[in-house]
Amino acid sequence: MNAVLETVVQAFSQPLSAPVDVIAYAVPGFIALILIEIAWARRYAPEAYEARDMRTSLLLGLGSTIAGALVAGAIYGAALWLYAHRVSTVPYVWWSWAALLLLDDFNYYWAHRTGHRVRWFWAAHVNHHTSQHYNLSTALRQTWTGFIALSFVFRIWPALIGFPPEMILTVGAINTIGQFWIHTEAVRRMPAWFEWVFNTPSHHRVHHATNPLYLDRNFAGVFMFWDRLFGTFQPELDAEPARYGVIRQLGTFSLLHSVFHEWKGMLKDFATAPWRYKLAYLVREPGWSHDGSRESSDTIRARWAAAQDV
Amino acid sequence: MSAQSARSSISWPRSPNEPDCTDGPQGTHVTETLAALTALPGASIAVQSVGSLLAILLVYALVRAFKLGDDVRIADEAEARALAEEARCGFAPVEVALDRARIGALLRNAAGEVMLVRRHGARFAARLLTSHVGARLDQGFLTLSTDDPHFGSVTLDLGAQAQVWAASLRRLKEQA
Repeated sequence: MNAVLETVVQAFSQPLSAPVDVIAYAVPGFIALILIEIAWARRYAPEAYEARDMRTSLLLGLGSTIAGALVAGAIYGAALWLYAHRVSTVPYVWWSWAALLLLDDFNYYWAHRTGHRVRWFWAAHVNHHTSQHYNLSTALRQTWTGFIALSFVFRIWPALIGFPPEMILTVGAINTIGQFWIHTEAVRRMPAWFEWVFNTPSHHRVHHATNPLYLDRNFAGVFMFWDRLFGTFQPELDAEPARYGVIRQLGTFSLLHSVFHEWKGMLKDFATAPWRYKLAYLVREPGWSHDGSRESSDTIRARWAAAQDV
Repeated sequence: MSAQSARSSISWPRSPNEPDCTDGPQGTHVTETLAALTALPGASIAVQSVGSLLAILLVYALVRAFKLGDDVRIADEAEARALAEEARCGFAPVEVALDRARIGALLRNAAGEVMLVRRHGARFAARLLTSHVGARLDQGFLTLSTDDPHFGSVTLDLGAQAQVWAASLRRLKEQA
């Protein structure tokens, strides 16, 4: 046992010469789990999958991988630049990996929360939410435009305090893998302690739901306690089954519309808004409008809550 | 493991009838060409992408073959009302017209707003109608399009109700 522990500690003490593309290794597992979930859906929940919806999700995943590969060097370069200006140096030891897993998940929480509350970042993130289904293929429905939105800045700043960029990018990929399995309706609830500590299918169904009660809740990546800590936690209620998608459902399986529709809408608003409101259309929450003609998640939830009180 | 080492670690078995492409001038040429192609920037991504695309098409074919998410219909007026309320929180229909095949519905609330609900894959999507432009009546069939071109147009078989709804959509424009 001691020998195994020692080997693990040794392994995590080896400096990396480049980020490890752990997602590439996880892909066969992704495919296997999707096939298992399809078999489950065939037997128990045929409505859980829809062929065109799944095709769009997987093509968005493929496009995201290509986009990610094209800009990976730039993100790595930015992290290296920050590391060159670091204020301290964090060594390659087992506890620095553990600390970074936690810190990166904290960063993910805020990146994700901002991704829902600031339209500029929402424009990049929205396509992850455009499916009205919730299955493992939805997990792969990832952004093509995250680099343009600069959302990676949330994740690479630990280089400034001395975490090696290779470690940061590797841990970021591990975080992504850790979120794959939660995109399913096949798992109802995990044990209570697990639900408290970790993000689970139940918690993440809430996040993907358009029910007013569930809007803009459960932003966590791997660890669920961030939402409890920052007041955005909402448990899944049996009496309130989740409905998935976005407030204004796209009504199309078009790949490019899914990727670019919010960018297009935001830039159109920016171009046509009075000068003093232009910036607000980029940085305010999705659904905000200067004349109050639209609805944000806050106004929808408030109206829904008021109706519950009647 | 780098892409280069991953490639070199794969050793495919060769059929006895397969010509040996690694020997002779012709074989050398093929090997060199392949080596040059795989050395191109982005070749690894391109190969992986093509492989992923093929895998996507296979899984898509599988889901189609299993008929998952197939043929959903609106069960009744109550479901149409629920779909409208889900699409816009607080939308309380006072009138409902269901398509005869139950693939869509038109709903009007007390404020005179009209919502079109239509099937989208195995789910439903909805839009508020803002004018009667794009509405075409053909006996019992009412074709509607919205201000969102991506939403597409929908033809509802409303039977005798089609004419009544078409007329009310004209009033929608007058209100606007």
